[in-house]
Amino acid sequence: MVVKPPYKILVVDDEPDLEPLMLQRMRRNIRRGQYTFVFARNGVQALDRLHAEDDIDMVVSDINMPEMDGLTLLQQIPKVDPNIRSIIVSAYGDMENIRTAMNRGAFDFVTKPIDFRDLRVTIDRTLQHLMEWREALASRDQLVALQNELSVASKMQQSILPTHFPESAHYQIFANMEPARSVGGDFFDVVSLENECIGMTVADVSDKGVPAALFMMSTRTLIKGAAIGSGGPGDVLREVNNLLFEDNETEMFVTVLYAEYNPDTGEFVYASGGHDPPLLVKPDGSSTNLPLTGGIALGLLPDLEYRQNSVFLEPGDTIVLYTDGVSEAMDSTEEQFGLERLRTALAADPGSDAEAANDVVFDAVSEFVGDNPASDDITCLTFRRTGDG
Amino acid sequence: MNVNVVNVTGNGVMVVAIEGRVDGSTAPRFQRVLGTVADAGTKGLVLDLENLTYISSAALRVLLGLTKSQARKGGMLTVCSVPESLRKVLEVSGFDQIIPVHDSQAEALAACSR
Repeated sequence: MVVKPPYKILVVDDEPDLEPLMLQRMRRNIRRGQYTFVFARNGVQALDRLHAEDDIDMVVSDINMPEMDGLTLLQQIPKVDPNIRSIIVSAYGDMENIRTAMNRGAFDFVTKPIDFRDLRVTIDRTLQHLMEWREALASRDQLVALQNELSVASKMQQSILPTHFPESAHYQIFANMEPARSVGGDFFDVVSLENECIGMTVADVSDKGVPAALFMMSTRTLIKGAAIGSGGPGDVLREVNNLLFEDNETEMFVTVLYAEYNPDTGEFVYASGGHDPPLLVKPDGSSTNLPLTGGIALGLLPDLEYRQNSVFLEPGDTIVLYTDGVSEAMDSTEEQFGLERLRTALAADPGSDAEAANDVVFDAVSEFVGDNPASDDITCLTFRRTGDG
Repeated sequence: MNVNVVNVTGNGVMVVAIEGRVDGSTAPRFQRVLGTVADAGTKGLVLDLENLTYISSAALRVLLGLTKSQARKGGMLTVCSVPESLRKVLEVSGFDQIIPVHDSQAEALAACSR
């Protein structure tokens, strides 16, 4: 916390005359609300005051005093509060004590007889330093808090990702998410439906931090709930959109690609809520960007309809779902990876199975961006219809 | 990222040019600056995106907030001169169905004056 004036200064001197003199000479600064003074007659009294009053900003101390001298006091002050700054008052030319005081952490010194104008300048400079120090501490604390929050959000994000994928004689499915250093809002999910059908989601929440992670978790839960017993992807998105919109005060939104596959018919049905459409990759590596279904990102507006589209997959066909962390991954010249590079990589190597195809995507992105740190999460889900079995 | 007020029309529509990248790290500043600008402008806000190179979802969220706050004041938010790559982002995310997109400043200004 950065404390505002008046700054509280503890003056330690065994000379009783100093107290009225100080108050008299500093009266303007006191009146202007810049300083307030408290006094102690020796190091022991000074420590007592420091313990009793936690709002003392600064100590101005003499060296030679009974019971506890100023140099001993200097060593004790940091144990009470390491953020208090001290100025030592010493006899003119007493370099040895001044050196000792500085070595023991005094911020500055003034000499006797006290020149009050010089003392004022020294106090102000010390207070200036103190303010900057406290601001630095405050921003460090904020940074630590922010990092803590981001690490909580990151754990929440990781915790909702499936670690196992359903195994089937009819298809393979694999997905991965590489988080950006500062957490993004990507997630994927897989849900088993009736009659061996399978639902799959890739999504990107528009923010980071704990609120976004909570939004992400509710989106994922709502999709799971809506998917089971739904009338298809368009219905799922319509339902989830309305539920997300209901208590969304924050203008947060999520782009979602939700799809269902029916192994009996080979039909792959998908709907987009503001998300990139799927890429269909044939066994020979050629690929087609499936048409956009035109839905708006979820959570923004109520009562929207979401169109769905369907394709029939042949054995060996692969569907690639991804987030903009893939298409907009940037190299050091801020060039974007883009869909064409994605297609080129998969044309060169469509992968021996869904997991291998997923690796092809991540390897291509990683090779493209080089050392440039990812500014967004990178998520890719690959789904392949296997041979008729 | 740079935000420059380039024109204020006689009927109180403000034209603001946005340059560079608006991503997760610059979005909070983008929100602050545009919020201040929007509070000053009265009837409408035209964002010229000609020199905007990248816009993240966090920035789209800021635009959505502005769209709503403008609507509450009886004004409107429009964007114009959107580069092809960003037009694609607006289209895919469905934001072009929420925020009016115009080809030029003149068209956007005409829409705001209606």
